[in-house]
Amino acid sequence: MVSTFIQLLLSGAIAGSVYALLAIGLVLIHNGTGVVNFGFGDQLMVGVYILVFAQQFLGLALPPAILVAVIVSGLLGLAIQSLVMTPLRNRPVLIPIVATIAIGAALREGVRAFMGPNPWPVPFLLSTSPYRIGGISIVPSDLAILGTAIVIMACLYVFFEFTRYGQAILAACANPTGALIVGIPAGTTTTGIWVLSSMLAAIAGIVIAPLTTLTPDIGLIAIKGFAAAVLGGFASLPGAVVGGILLGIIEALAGYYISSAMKDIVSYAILIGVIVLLPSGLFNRVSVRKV
Amino acid sequence: MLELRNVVVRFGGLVAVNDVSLDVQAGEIHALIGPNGAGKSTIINVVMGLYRPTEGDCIFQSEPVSGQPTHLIARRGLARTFQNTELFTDFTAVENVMVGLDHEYGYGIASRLLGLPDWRRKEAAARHEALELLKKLRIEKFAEQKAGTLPFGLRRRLEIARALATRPKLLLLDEPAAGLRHHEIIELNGILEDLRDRHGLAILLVDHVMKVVMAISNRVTVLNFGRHVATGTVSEIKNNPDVIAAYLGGAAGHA
Amino acid sequence: MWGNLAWVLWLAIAALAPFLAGQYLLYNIGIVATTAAIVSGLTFLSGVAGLISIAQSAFVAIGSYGAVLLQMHLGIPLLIGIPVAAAIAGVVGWLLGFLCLRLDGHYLALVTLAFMGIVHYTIINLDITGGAVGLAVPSVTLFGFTLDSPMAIYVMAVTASAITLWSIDRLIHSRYGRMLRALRQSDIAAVSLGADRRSLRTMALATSAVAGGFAGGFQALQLTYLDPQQFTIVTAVFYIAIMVVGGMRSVHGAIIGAAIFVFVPGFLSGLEHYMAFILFFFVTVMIVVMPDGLVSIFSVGDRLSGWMASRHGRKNA
Repeated sequence: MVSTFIQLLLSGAIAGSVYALLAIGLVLIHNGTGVVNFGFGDQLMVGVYILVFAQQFLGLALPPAILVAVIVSGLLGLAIQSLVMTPLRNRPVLIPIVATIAIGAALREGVRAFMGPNPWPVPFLLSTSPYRIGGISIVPSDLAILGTAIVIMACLYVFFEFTRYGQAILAACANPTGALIVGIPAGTTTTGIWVLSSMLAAIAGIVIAPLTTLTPDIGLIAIKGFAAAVLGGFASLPGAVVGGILLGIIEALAGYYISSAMKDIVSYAILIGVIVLLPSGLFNRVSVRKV
Repeated sequence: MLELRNVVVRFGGLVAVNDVSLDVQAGEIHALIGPNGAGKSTIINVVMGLYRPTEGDCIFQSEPVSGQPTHLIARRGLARTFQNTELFTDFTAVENVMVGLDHEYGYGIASRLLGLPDWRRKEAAARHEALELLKKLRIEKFAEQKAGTLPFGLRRRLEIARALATRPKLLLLDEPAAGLRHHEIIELNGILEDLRDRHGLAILLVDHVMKVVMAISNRVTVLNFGRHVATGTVSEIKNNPDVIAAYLGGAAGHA
Repeated sequence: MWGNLAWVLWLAIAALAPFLAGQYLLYNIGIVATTAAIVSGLTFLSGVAGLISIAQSAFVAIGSYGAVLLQMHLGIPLLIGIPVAAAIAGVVGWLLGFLCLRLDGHYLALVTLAFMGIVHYTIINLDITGGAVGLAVPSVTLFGFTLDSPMAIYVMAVTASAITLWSIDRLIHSRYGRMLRALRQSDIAAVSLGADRRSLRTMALATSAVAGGFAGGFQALQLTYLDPQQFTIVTAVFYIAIMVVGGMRSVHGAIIGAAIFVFVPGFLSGLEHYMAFILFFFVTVMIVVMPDGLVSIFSVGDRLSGWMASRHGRKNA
């Protein structure tokens, strides 16, 4: 019983590490530009399709294909930011948010039209047969997921803590006006935020894709990113990470102890529940509204 | 009528208002002055419930204000204008004022959907009163003009007209005279005195422009760095050494 | 002025269609009507109140499934069941608003996203709603007559849509519309004038839900079948797109947008495969270039004075 519980914690944390990546991508854009990027999931989907395209049609091996997918995804983010978000930056925030909804839908329908609505196969990166250690099953591909997530988060940490550009982005996320006053140009940080976030979407997608069937609608998985971000308070990147892992664990536990159907609905329920009951999430404190 | 008792407002590490007590009595114009950054606008925001005081109380007509939502505070008889006018720029001048009259001339969904006489009557009455208020502030000529296109001085008057629409007992004016030309200031003084004498309004007036403050105030309170410096009549304040020191010793900023 | 002309135009089309249009065209005009009515609820919520809802399809679902289930299991005639189900949708919308409208608008967007997902999930997983297979919509019977001819359905649907569109228009031009637009332009000022922000916005959400449920119920009659795939986040986004393309600020925008989404794919035959993509691409371009939608072509005069005013340095809403 205990080992089952630990098993659940483990698989939950592994799934949660991917949700954490999603949440980081969403929190970056929200905190840095005030926009909730509803097209994030569709960017994720495009990233995976680019990977498949690179492998199947360009004949690339896996590592360069992954690189292509991540870079092109970043470029797509750059295009979105410069062509759509920047012209809209002075409008009431409703408008850019609707724009992200439209962009996401355009990506989704575009992929459906050009690549077909039927599922594409995505190869597993590693074996799916489990090793047993002390009563607990560990699947190599799961470890790969966890490993990737940890490596990415470590890179992000280094980027944010130790590079000037990373610090500038953090400053812009913590206090956009303050950052401007201090001389950090908004255009550059916004660009960086979108490119980074878009690359994260692609990476998360590539990590998740082997586990599910790839269709143009796979972007709906981003809702887990939203739930994780809200759980972490939409406040900070560490909060996003904790929110992600927590969500993964809650999902795993609910799936086993309540019903496997519950698993799907957990994200939605948490999203509504946290917003309604605890709008500041677990870490943020809703600040005083100022004039 | 309005009483602030030992109010402290802290934003993180910054103390904007530091143990300020003041009161505004019925039928008086009470000016709040002080060098820039003295915390004057913050006081208005506290009274209107936009900020919660970190410490201290705010009482209006013997009932506490702190903690109530702003719209309920407004309905109790407090109205304000803004330092950077917050007009509804896409609305005409009349429509701006009609927003203030909504509570008085409310009607229900059914009434509107069924076209009942009630909504027609109330809309007409609201519009009529809005025009009257514009007349009182002498801007009725611009009734159908979009607020965003109005010249600066008139915008401030429109804000006052709009604030009056809520039938306040106490008016909080945040720098109504800033940027006004000489003859506009004379007009403003006339309007404010009229509001006090003929309509019995109490007014808390935050401003730098001494031509207004010294001319019409019953009492003046001086703040500096969020602290209370002095309260008294105009002549008492003019000769108060602490006040003089606050203005000359610190940042300057008066007309 | 343009507005009144537009109403005359829509009424003329609706009234003449049964005599001049073939069955296929008549059906599509009817679909435009109910879709426009559904979207008009969103117009009130987003265009006027400035809030985003990704749950309009959920309210349509409550109206449609609600009415059908009330007839199937409680014997309540559809023509009564639809308004009842719409009222239920309104209550649900009100509840959602009550729970989360004290917060910023983008929290509502997230909550409606989650709500939409939950509703879709519920529909697919409950036996009573027919699961993934869906439900057939029974015919309307009135005084012993079965009203299932295309003409009868058209009349019912267009009448219901007209009532919905006209009601929303009235609300837009009422103190509710005024207060909501005031809140959008400067919520600090509106609140300082006594506007109960939460109550007004909740009312807007409930209204959009009732419109969606009511018009949606009648659209179910037109579609004759409830397929869960109609009630997803994807379709909710379609409604948003229709609203944006036609024009967010008025009911006429909803009508124009619906007409475009229903008829344009027919004109670009050969491109059907790419239709959805083209439409959303177009929506994105429109948001950047013409944010007030196609309907704003008719208010060039307004915009010109607005442009001139902005050169004098005023803040835009």
